[in-house]
Amino acid sequence: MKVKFSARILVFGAIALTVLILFISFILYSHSSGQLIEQNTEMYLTENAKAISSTFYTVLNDQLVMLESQVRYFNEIDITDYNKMKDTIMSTKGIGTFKNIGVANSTGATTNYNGRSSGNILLTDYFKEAMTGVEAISAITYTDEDGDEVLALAVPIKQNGRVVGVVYGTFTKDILNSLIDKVSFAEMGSNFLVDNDGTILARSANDRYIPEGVFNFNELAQVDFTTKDDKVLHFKVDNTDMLAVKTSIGLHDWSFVNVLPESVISEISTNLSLSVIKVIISVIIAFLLLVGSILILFRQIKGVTAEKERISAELSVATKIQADMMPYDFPERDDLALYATMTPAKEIGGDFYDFMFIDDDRLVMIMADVAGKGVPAALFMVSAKAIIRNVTRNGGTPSEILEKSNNIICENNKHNLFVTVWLGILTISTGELIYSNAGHEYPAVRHGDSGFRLVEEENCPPIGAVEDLEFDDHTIILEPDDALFLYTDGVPEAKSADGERFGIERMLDTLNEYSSIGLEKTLTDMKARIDKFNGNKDPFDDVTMMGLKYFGKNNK
Amino acid sequence: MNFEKTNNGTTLTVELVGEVDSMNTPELEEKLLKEIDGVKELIFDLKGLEYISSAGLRVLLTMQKTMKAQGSMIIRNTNEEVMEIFKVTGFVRLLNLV
Repeated sequence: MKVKFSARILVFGAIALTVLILFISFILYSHSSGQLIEQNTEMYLTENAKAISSTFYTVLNDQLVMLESQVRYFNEIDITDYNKMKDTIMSTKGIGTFKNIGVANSTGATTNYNGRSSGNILLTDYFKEAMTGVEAISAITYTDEDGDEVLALAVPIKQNGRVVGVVYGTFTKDILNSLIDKVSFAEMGSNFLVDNDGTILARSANDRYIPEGVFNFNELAQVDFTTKDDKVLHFKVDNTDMLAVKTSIGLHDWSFVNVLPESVISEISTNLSLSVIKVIISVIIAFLLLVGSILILFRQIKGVTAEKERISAELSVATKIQADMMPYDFPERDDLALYATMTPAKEIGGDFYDFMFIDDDRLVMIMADVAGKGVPAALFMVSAKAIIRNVTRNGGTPSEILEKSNNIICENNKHNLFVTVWLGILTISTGELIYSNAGHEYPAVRHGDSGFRLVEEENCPPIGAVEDLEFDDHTIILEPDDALFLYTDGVPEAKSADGERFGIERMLDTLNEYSSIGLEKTLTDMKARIDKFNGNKDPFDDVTMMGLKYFGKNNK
Repeated sequence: MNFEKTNNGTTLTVELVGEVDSMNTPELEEKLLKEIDGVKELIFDLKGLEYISSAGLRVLLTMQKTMKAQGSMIIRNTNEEVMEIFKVTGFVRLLNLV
């Protein structure tokens, strides 16, 4: 009981420990994986923003190169002459993705390729910069003649090493936005071009994250856009947590900002965690199933064991009852000695012996063996023994007793059980032994000093086999000091480990070896020899023996 | 025990090989009862039978009684050892040994 209890504690302990370990592993995992995913995402976004911004810068440079190609028309022209300048620009077809391409002379006066003017640009940053002889991109947007917010690119026109004017091109926000989309090769998040005070110059056309009414990133998060450092920003838009990466594009103080809702990251994290949870749950379920099966098995074994114990307890009572059915008050007489043993192969068996004095001079001996073993044989044995005993009390020769017993037993024997019976009546005064044998082992008889021999007569069928059988009587005359040995087939048919049977010869040899000693000792030694022969195997069959020493008038 | 059967229409031939004892008779009886329906002639061939215990004899007796109602049962090729068992148990008087 103590062992079983501690085994249960062990099992539950193991379950608890395993679940705890899995749980802790999961917590640690999800914590670290969440962090890792976030870090990786920030790094990814930063790299993404950097790549996009450099691509964007390249796109702008391409546009500058295109503007440069327009400069050649003005190399030979006196652009202080406004009309000449206007005619020349109107003769060009335009190039690139500009809204407008125009030309300005050193006074800042402008004329566009469509014949209109953008007013005087003398004070604009791009004009000023380009007039110093370098290509320029405006750092801020300007409102053009149509009222559009435009960004301007300018390249200088040089004549004889002197800057005489600029060719400029303008981008509206839409153009800038489309340029941003062109360079946004990653699906993740939205991209924004932001100047140094946070003003959004351009944004992904397909942006879903930042409301259109927001024109400056500082409305969302306080960020210093004047620095060139990469920065990770966390802010809320309509209660949605956003993650953004700001990276400098290397032009003016402009930055690129890549924006992604945190939920996207936590989704990835959640998806990963879900997969891990699935795996862990599978492991736990598998483990619990295993433990469950083990517990069920334990319970079954316990149940089986309990049932076995109960049956075993009942059977041991049955063993006792059965043993008590065999007479053990062996006669202590001067004219004969009688001893018998019955050892069932299982707790109870189908063998039995019996003896009784029907009068002062006559001893009835019975040796019987019911077909089969165990409980069915034992039940049949009980009834057969009672019937034969009763019939015997009513008198008659052995064959008459067996005939009557057979018919009574056959009346109710659906299962065709039968019992082999040797029944003999010894008249003690004369030594005449009349017996009838219903299919039982031949008796062994010792006459004088000749040693034990089987007395083989033709046997009748066993009791219970078929109705209305006729049985035969046989007679043996016992002389003083003769002996009789009765047994069941458990003796000769006992089997050794290598399949050899104990056999009649060995049985007779053993009898002869011990013939000088007491009956009880002979039978006990025979049993011991059979057990030894049998080895460690469970006994194969019930072993029952009865010995008679006849002293007659000689006494002992 | 080895159980070889050939079912030729209404004739069932059962070959018993090795040892028939209380360990394998339940199986033998179950198999026989499954096959016995409609059989007119049941033949036990004991050529290869080395030993038969009382439990095995009980099966032969049961089959004999069953076949009495629906046909016949014979036992053939009984070897010396098994014949000795039939003699001791008196079964020579019950069985149709050919």
